[in-house]
Amino acid sequence: MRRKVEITINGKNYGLMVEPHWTLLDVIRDEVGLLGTKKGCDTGDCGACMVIMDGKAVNSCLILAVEADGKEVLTIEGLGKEGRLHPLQQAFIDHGAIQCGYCTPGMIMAAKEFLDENLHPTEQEVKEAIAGNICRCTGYVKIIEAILAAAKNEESRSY
Amino acid sequence: MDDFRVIGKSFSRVDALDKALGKTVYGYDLSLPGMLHAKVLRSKLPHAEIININTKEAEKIDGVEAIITASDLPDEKIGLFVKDRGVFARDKVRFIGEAIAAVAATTPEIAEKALAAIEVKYEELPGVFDPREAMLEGAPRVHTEYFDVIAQGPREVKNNICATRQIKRGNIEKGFQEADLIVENVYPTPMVEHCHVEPNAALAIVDSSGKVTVWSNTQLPFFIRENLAHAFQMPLSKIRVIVTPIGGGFGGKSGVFMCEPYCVALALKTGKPVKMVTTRKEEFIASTVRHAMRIETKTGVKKDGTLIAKQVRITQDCGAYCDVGDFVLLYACLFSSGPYRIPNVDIEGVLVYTNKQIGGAMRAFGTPQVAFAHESDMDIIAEKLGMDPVDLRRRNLIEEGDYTVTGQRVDWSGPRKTLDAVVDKADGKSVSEKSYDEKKKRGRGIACGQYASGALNMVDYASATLKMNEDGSVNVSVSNAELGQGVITILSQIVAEELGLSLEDVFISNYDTETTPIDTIGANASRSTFVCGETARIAAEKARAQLITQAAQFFEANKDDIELKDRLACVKGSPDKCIPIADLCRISLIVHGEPIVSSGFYKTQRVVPMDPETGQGKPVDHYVYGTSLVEVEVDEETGNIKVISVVSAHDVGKAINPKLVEAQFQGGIVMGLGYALSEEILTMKGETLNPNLHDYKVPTPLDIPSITSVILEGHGSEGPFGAKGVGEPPIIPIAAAVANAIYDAVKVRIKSLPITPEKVLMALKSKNQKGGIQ
Amino acid sequence: MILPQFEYLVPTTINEACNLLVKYKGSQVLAGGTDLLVDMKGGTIAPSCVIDVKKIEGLDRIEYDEVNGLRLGSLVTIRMIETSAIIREKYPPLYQAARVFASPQIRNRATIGGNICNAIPSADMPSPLIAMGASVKIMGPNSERKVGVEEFFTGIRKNVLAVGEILTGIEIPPLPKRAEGIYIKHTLRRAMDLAIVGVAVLLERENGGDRCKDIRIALTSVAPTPIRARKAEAILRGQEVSEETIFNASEEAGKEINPRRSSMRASPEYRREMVKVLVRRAVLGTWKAV
Repeated sequence: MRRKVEITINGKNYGLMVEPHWTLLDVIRDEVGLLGTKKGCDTGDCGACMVIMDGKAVNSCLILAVEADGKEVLTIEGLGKEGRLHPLQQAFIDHGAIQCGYCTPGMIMAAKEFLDENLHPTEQEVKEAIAGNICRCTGYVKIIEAILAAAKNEESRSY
Repeated sequence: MDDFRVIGKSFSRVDALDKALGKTVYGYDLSLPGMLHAKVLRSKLPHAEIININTKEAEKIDGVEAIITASDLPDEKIGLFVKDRGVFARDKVRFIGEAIAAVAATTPEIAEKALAAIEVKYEELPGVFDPREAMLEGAPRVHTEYFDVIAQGPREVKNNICATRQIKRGNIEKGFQEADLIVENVYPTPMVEHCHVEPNAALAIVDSSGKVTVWSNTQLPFFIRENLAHAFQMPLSKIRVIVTPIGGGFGGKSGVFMCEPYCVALALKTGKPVKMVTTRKEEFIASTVRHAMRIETKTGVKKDGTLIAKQVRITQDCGAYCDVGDFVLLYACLFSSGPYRIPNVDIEGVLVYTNKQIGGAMRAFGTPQVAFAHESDMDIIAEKLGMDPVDLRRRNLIEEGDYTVTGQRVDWSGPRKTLDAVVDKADGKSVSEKSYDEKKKRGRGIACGQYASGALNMVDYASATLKMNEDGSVNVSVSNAELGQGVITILSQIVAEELGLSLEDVFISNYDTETTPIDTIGANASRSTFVCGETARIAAEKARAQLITQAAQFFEANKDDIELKDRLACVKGSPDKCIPIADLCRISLIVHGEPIVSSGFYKTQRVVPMDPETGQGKPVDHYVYGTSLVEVEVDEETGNIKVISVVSAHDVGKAINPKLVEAQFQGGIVMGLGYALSEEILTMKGETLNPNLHDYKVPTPLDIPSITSVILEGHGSEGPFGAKGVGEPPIIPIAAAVANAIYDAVKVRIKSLPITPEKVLMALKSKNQKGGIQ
Repeated sequence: MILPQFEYLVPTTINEACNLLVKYKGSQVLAGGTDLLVDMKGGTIAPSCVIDVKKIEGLDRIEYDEVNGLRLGSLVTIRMIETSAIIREKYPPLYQAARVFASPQIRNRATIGGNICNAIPSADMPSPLIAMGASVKIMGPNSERKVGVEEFFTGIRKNVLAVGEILTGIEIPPLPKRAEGIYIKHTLRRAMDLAIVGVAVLLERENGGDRCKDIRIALTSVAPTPIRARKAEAILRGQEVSEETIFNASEEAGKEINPRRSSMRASPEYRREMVKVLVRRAVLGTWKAV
């Protein structure tokens, strides 16, 4: 039986009728229509579905939509402000950290939560922060470079 | 110095912004109003006769709109060069995961529920899972015949042998007689999965005229079109395959048609749009994998280290259907003796059907497997002869003027150049430095590899069309799929360079079998930059000639004096005589009524197909070479292996975009490390034990070493500005270099992949028990 | 990979949750969901009813005092453990186990209670808890009991919880003054991996001497449940600690295990070897540090 949930996604409040067995990932994609959050494995092993919920990066494939009732969710579409890219997005572009791009949204969301709490990360800390995100194209090298570069960008702190 | 303005520069990818914003719409993301969702019922048994399929209960489920099985389709076989499988299993199933029925329903959930309600009655047959057992008399027969596309006729399958391949040169017996040392080894390699993060996906519609349009995240759309036409007995012109942006491929979206035929069949039946996506489990059990091989080598060498004879026997586990298995076998055989000058060679390969998932295309078709063997051999030989592994390679690497195993003349000393580059780069880095724990030993290993840019043993061709717009921008149609490698950016750079434009002036049309020109094998075989790039360049060169004609006319100057750069056409040496290319386009169109349009066609020039008996011929249009050096740290008590660093050099001709080239190196190296150390599809009686990304272990960010890439330019190809393909080669030497580094560190030789801590530890224990080097 | 349908209930008190568990046979408790949803998607379980306990107040607290030690609500996430200064300082093995648990994002959701209740042999939380003498608090509709973590597990995916019972908290006593602990996890990958073997040790040194006053060695992924290496402990307990006694103890630990034959991750022989090596390293490491 469907139940009503209210989820704030990227600052906008959505009242949604959802089945209990729908995942937050499926609701973000199929009900809300935000396709930037990706499905790669559906079992929490690839990280493509990562979003930030109440300040924490999470695998949205392992959360029921009903569990997100009353929560604030940030997806890749909600990053950046006033038409400008988030420094992570810009760094990913500039450093060639994107190839097929399918892991990119999840990777950026994981990195964002991490940078929000770590102003001066080491390379090892960056690797640990994105250890739950599989990228099969890049070998991670340029992704790590991009996150370290974004960390140095003062603008990262104003998000 | 080169005077290039666009190529050779590390521009950011043209598709990066959309991808960073999450705006790119991949195949997985597509939808249409009223669309149905398809799911496929897959065999639970590895080998069985299908007695009956009962779909009655499933049909009753509310929301189920159609269920189809083999009996709904023409009795036609599909496949690439070998047609041996149906869209659905007909009469019998040959592996766990084979499609039996497909359901279209209003939601994926209902479709799944319907699958559970379909009853299949099987009569189980004995299965065969080991290729060597499959070849024995009396073994269960997976196939009895197939349709050979090249020969255009049926072919009988004996002893489950799908295909064979041989290469013979010199006199192998004489070679071994002259050898001072003969070394024999056996190297088994496992099945591995591509693990592109985006699963396979397709969406099909049928219009009232019966015309089918399929959106798919495929690397191989023209083959999909041909196979759909064949399966549904429709003309090619009535099937349109549109390629979506692709979330990774590596060959995993090149073969077995995971979604397209089911979407089409169900769309034809229901008249509604039908979408299908695969689950991660289906990717493991029902899509293609890298072939498992067993490689037996026998190498004869003189005391001074000169290789004199090499015999190789490859047994390649085909799985239940051929897909591109025969093509993979060709690559494996051709490259199995390594980039070495060996006068006497005897190579035989056999591709054997088993009741397992289908082997197919995967980054560097069969070559990482054989490179693991030939490069492990080299270090084993070096030790037996008391030689340095680098010196042994230098003595034998093929040089300009030498002949390959197929009698093809080598046109430059690429292997040695890459070896030298790696050794130069790595020197000065000490490996003897004590790590903090004396139980951890460091070691270095080197390995060389060779590959082909452009499809092997066949004419590889592509075509392009180009039109210039009134504002000086240009639309180019080339059939190549963007799967992350950056081909759209590369093609844009090539065209912009040729036309004196900026990168953003060029727009590459989406790959669409109806509107983009004909092509061979899509985004495969390290051919995109080389073959498709040259095709685009030729089209641009023709447009350039038209622009120059217009400019010469405009300035009343000699055509030879016109140059195109920075969006301007100028008379050389007269800075005031410049006209924007946009104006030229307008004048050309409006004043002269002569639109600037062109087409390009390129086919590889050098290939002379191999003789089926001796393998002699010129199967490779452009050889590409590479060398990797790996440093590891091995924990002698646990067998744990930590890769400290990798240095790789690859021969790329000309790097159109160095940053994208480097990205191919890094991605290939890390995929190679997974192959070397952790990845393996485990099966028992045809059932996959680890069909998920948790138990199947691709490297994580914490598993990667420091990586140094040496982009070796200088020996140009006939491709665009001398560029060669580099998508696949970086993976090739890695597993062997890791194995050699582990040997250097702890003196145990692991001859099977992946090299797990357990294998290393058990080998160490057995070495210590024997009290000597094995 | 579609979740089967179920009824979703959200109790706000422990008692309500217990009553729901009694009322709805075949229901499952949902905490972090990082195991439950994977199992449900894979079809290994299909509960008719999912009881989400996250709205119950007070189960996500970390409390510490020097007399009673550490009390963790069952909904404390692995990330909370990882980032708790007091746990890092006072209970290092628990901190170390949290650090190597799956990925940071899984750690944001996964709870200590869930990790214990699932009773998977490779779970990271139980061994350090056993080594540190922890117990769990279990509440039922009309009952409350305390069980040692060591006694909690009865088999693979099996525990002592009766129908209607919920694990509500974990208690770890204050560690002895001259004690040191460690958790070593042996995996193939450096993240997102289950333990081939995990070893937790808590070692207490005799005041002013070279003897080991007390020791607990708990092992992950080597038997159907987490186990103590009691014979190995006995070799060290009350004895002078030397390389030889440590070696003997670790060899003994290797004999005490009962690993699965059919595991994909490692053979029993390799697991045995790893127990020996890692117990030796863990004991040596704690002995040197204490």
